[in-house]
Amino acid sequence: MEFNIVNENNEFKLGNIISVFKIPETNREIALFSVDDFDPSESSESSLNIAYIDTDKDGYDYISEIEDDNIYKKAMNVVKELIEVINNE
Amino acid sequence: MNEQENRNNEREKEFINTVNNANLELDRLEKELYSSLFSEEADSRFRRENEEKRRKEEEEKARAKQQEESAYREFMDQKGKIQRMIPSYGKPIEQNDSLTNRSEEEANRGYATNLENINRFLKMTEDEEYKKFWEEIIPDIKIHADSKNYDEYVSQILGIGNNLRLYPMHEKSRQNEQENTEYKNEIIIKQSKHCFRNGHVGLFVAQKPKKDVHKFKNRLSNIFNIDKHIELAVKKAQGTLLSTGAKIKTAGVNFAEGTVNNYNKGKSFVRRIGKEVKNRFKKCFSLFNLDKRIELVTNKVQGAVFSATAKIKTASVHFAEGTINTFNNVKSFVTRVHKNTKKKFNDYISDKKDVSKKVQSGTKLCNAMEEVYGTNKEKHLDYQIVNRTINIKEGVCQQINTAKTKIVEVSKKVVDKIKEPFDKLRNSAHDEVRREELQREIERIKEENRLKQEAMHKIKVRVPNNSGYVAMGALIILSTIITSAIIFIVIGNMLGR
Repeated sequence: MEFNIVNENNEFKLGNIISVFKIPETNREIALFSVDDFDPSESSESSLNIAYIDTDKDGYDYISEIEDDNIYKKAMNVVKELIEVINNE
Repeated sequence: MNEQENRNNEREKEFINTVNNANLELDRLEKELYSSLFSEEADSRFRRENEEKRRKEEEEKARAKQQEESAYREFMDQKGKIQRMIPSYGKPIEQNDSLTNRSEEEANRGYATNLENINRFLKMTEDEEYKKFWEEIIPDIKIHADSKNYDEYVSQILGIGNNLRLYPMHEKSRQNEQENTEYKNEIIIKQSKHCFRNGHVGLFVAQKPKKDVHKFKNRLSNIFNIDKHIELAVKKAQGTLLSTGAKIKTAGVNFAEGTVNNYNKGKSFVRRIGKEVKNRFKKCFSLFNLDKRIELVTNKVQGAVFSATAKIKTASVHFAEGTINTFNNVKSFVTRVHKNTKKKFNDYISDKKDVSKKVQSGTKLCNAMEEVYGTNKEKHLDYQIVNRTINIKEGVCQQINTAKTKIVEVSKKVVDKIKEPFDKLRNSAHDEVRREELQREIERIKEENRLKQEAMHKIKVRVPNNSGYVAMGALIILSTIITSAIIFIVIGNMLGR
């Protein structure tokens, strides 16, 4: 699922949600997504990101940053394990 | 022209003078510096400074050594204290009649201490002073108890063990006492010389039975400051009073079962006591809630280590720092353990809380731990993959600080590779994929891959390989050409001659 991003430098980026998961430390869902440039020829670099994915009153989802360090670390570990599991390492 | 030369000459002279003066000044400074450095005075000052420095260093060393020695002595003292305490634990309790000489000596010291204490608190002998004392401190003492229990009762309150014997007043003397004094309906505790029987210190008790025992208990407790005595005795036993620099712990202290910490001004000792006295002290412990603490400690240790079905107490227990109170049915002892061991122990206890339900339901501890944590506890991460439709509003940009959300920077190829299996899963999954399901799916894919690899290997084995024949043919042709060329060259040369 692709979506548009404006980053901290007011640059437009393309987000792509890879997976959504939950951890017991929080009730909110966490999205694992990649961030790329809009033009594929511009750069071959990409990044893996995590953030909360919440739903507003109109039923639309939106992304918000994880402020809690502990939750962030836990989510990072989950992503690490997910990738290990899914790549069958 | 001459004027110019003259001016130049003057300037030159002036310059030379300046340089000379500067040199002279430099020489002077050099001499001064030299004299300050190498004169006798400087030498002596230098020596003095050196000597002082050396002396200070030696003093420092001596002080450090002294501190070390005193610390060692303190350690040995404490060790000795503990060693002296430990051997009595768990051994059969001797009766007072069969006390060793040393115990008797200690007991005598105990009598002396008690006598001193009682003298201190009950030194008034004149009736007026006596009356004043009781009026001021315990104006309304009332007690409801049989006279036969006074011995035990006041022994408990005073906390001085079997050295105290209370002798109820003779009926006649009691009557006289009550007639001669105004404080009827009040308890009278009075020291009497006639009570020094068998080395015991005696107190007379005269009373009119009334209510409110607790008030009496509290009052007496305050008067004789029992808490303070016990606390001091325990601290003394711990060796904290021996060290002037050591902090005195005021946290709760657990008495070892079967021992009494008896406090003396100069010395403290632990001695064996009879069963009866032990029971009295047990009751006495309830005054300071020591029983409860011991119970909690034993329950905790029992529950965690020895009994799989016991409930684990989570109430706070004050362990003395650096020690663990280990409970045994037969004996109880205190041993020092390393901080890490203590931490591991605490971790063990906290882990057990989570598996306690399973343990109580009859599952063995190891199995329960494995069921809860898996075989590799550290790797265990509790999470759930959510398979849901994402509905982000079209034409809206998500404002994100990507620097904050970023986990890792990778190439697009890697991201694509990561995406693939997730996409497959998303397509095949129903509502939510749990970790176990995910793992099962992975195992299935793994097995498929293995079978595919095996099949490929078999195909490779069946297909004949022709590359060897081609190489051999080429080699033969090449060698034939080279041989014939050599023959032609040799024959040609021979004919040419």
